[in-house]
Amino acid sequence: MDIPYIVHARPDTGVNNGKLGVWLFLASEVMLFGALFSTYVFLRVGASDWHTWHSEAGLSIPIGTTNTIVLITSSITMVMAWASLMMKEFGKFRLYFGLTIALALVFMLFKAIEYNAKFSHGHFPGTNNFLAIYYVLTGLHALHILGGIIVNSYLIGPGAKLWRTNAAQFTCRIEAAGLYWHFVDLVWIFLFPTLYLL
Amino acid sequence: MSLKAFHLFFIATSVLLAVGLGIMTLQDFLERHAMAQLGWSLLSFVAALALILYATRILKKLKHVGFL
Repeated sequence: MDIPYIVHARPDTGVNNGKLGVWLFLASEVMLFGALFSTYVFLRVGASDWHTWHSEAGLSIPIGTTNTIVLITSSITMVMAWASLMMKEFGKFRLYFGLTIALALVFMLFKAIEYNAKFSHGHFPGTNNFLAIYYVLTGLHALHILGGIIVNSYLIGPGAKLWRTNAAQFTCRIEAAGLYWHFVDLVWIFLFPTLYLL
Repeated sequence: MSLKAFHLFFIATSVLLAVGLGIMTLQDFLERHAMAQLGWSLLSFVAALALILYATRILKKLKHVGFL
């Protein structure tokens, strides 16, 4: 049995089913991160020691900036991978998509270095409210990056077989993965100034 | 919204972040006269400009792709 609207847009929604599903999922993600950002605001407004906690935490702005550059670059390579598929250049797709995964691993490496430095200085989630929300927000974001790495690794590995049998559907899958990846990167674009700079 | 539209939105947000970072570090330079801050400020503005140029390039490259 063929499943309809996996490539072509449904007349009533204007998009294919996969894209609609991803956007519904991302809407729930907006609520999740939105609630946590609200928690951050309430904790910050209610705390008189916030600036002391923030400076004591000693977050590394160079590492945060590097991770921001890494994620922006990974979004660019993700779009390049998708564009390569639309131009039927599978070799280029593998290169750009592989780079996206590699950059995500670089992000995770820097995050691990950062967490390790915090733990070695005795900065744990229970130390104060700033570190509590810092670990919750960045930890949840890192889990999303990990999820992206797993899905993208499947798509460049065993999932890539679909390219030979149904190229259009595979391109739609990469677009859906790209939408998720952009959302995760966009969360970081808000997390970086909120936690590191302000 | 297609990946093309979301990507352009993402790049626009990144440009705002780079400009904000540039202004912040420039203010810091004007207050403390730390040359490193001026360097970071210039780098941020260059990054913002590079992202704008990239966005116009990708817009041309993906002109046959819709925004939905």
